Amino acid sequence: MRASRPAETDGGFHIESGLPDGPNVSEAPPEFVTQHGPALARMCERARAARFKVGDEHLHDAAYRGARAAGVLDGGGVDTYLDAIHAEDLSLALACQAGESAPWEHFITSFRPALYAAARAIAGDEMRGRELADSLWAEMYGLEVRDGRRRSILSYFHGRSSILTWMRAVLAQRHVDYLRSQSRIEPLDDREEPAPNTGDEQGDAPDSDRTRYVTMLGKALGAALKSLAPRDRMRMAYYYRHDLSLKEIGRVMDEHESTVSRRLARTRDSLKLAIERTLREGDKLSHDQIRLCYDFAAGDLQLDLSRALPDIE
Amino acid sequence: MTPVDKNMEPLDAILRHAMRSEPGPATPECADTESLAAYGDRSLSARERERLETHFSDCARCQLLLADIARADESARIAKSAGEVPWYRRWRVAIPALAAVTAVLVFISIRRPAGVTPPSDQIVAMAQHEAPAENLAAKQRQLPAPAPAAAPSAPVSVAAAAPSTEIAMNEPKPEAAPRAQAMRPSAPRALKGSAEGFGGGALIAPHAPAANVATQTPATTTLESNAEQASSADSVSREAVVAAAPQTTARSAALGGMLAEPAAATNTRAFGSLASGSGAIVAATRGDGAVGAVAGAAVGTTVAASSSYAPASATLVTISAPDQSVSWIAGKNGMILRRDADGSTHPQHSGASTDLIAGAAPSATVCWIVGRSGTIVRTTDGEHWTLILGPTADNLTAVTASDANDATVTTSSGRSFATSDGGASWHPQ
Repeated sequence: MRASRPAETDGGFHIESGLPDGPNVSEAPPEFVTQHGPALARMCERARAARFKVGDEHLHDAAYRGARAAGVLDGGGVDTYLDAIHAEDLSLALACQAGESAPWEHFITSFRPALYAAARAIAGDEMRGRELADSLWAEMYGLEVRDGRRRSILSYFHGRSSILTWMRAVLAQRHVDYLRSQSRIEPLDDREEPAPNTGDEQGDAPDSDRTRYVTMLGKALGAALKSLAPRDRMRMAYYYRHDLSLKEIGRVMDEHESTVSRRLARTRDSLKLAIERTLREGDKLSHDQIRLCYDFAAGDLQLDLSRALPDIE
Repeated sequence: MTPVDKNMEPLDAILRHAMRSEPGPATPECADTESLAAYGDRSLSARERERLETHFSDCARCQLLLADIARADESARIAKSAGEVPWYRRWRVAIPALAAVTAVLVFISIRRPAGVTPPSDQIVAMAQHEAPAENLAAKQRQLPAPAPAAAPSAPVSVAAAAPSTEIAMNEPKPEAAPRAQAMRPSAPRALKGSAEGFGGGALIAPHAPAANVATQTPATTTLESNAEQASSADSVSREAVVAAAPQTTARSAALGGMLAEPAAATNTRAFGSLASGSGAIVAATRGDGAVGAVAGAAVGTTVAASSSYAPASATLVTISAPDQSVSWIAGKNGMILRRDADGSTHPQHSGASTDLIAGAAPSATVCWIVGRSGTIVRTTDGEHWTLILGPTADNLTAVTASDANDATVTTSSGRSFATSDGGASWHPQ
């Protein structure tokens, strides 16, 4: 996969990354069609594009653009890529870009309810979800006219996924960008200030010890997290950071939820062992002092532990 | 329930807090939309997936995007599964429904009166008793020889002193025989003959010279089984009945014998009728001075009638007049519909509440219909029906009639009774 370019603006749309030329500029070269003719033929057969009056040459062009965007043109695996394309969705997207009414009616009938449901689920709010979906719907139709043509963001869909999942991904990006824009304009007064650590609630420990224990715990935690395997770290992040259910984590990780639960528990236990080993062997803390570390950190969650975990983000 | 939930230790709170961070801006390493979607659809190769996961494990932004995609996906799955009814839930409704239907059927079968022969048995009985005239004649030959008449040569004359007819409803069902005994309190009646248990009415002297004229008349029979829906086996049974039954002997017997009865004697005939199904007892009591009138001379009468047979079930029976200008459709619970030549149909009040089984219409204005529990109704103007006091409480399964006065009814057990006075009196055949 090619490395995509960053978005032009933080709050803007990220999807344009990697496709500076836009749609219908790159045509599939004859050698591409010749070399991958059988795979292209299979793709066209799956696409059933005739019902939307989309010609095979348009599908070839779209497949070529998608392969180029995915970075598979230089290496091998073009045929594998073509065989994995969601061809039917791709032909529908091409037909909708062409502005035909019948494909649009089919698209609306098939995906509009799912799109609004996905927007509600992502935004977690009915009104915000509707705004999100309306906005995407308009952009898929193509409000912007350039060179006499409507420009639809469907032109960035190349069939690497189903069109429904692609729309969910677009909605998710819009939502994240929205959250980021909202956090930027949030008044400073509304932000939570870390409470001063007086030590009153946690007994008589002096502030210096308290801060030192919390810092030691933070560093041990950071190191332990960093030592986890990527998938273990992802699982922990989905569970503790993003509050996904075990089932949702399983959906992302392609695991059964019981597997997720079991592996989460194992990762957590190993994390705890690693933290305590670091505190005991590296910082020479006793068992009681280690327990104090936990108590201080857990009792004073205003302390931004993430500052002690510089490598996580 | 995860182990983390079971073990809410300080570490879990620390992890939740420590890992909380806002997503940063997209970086060159962040996955583009299609790659994210393809990862969510598991459309990526293992190598590409592994490479992306290395980035995802440390990128809060990509994690958040994937988490949002997963939420949307899971939400859609939940919504879809909520709209589908699993097979076992469909059975959860179907099984109690089947049980309820079974219970109703069992209840209906149990609720049938014990004395009522099931319809199928009636069909067989009708086929055996009604149909062939030879069988009927043979049965009659098998009847026990009646007692000799006291004065066989004398003409019999029973004067009908009070031919009025009353029908008293809702009286307890009387026993015919005791009533028969009771109706002759002190009269020195010379009873010469056999009444076959008939409650005291006409006394028959069978040894009188008689000229039996048995006229067999093809019956006009139409069965409207409600009904193309009827099972084929059932249909076959009905056809057998209809084929066997169309000819009925209507006899006019020459009665000889003598009945000597004081004029002051009062005969009371009572017929009990058990209302079908409901358990209500309908008693028909009739008091008259003399029951029936039998002309002493041998009389030969040709009876032409149309008759209709039907099993004692929910079957509709259609009785058509000879000229087909009008027909009546009779059925359950005393239901009668009149259908005119133009096809128009309108209900008529029969006065009966039992199931009507068969009928005979000798003209366009006269029709006799019989049914369960000895029910007999008759119209003489084609519009209004009169409940006729019948000779028996048994189910009547056939009737033949030549006019408004002469009719013969047949029970499900094969016994026949005739009237020549519009039902005022009945004579066993």
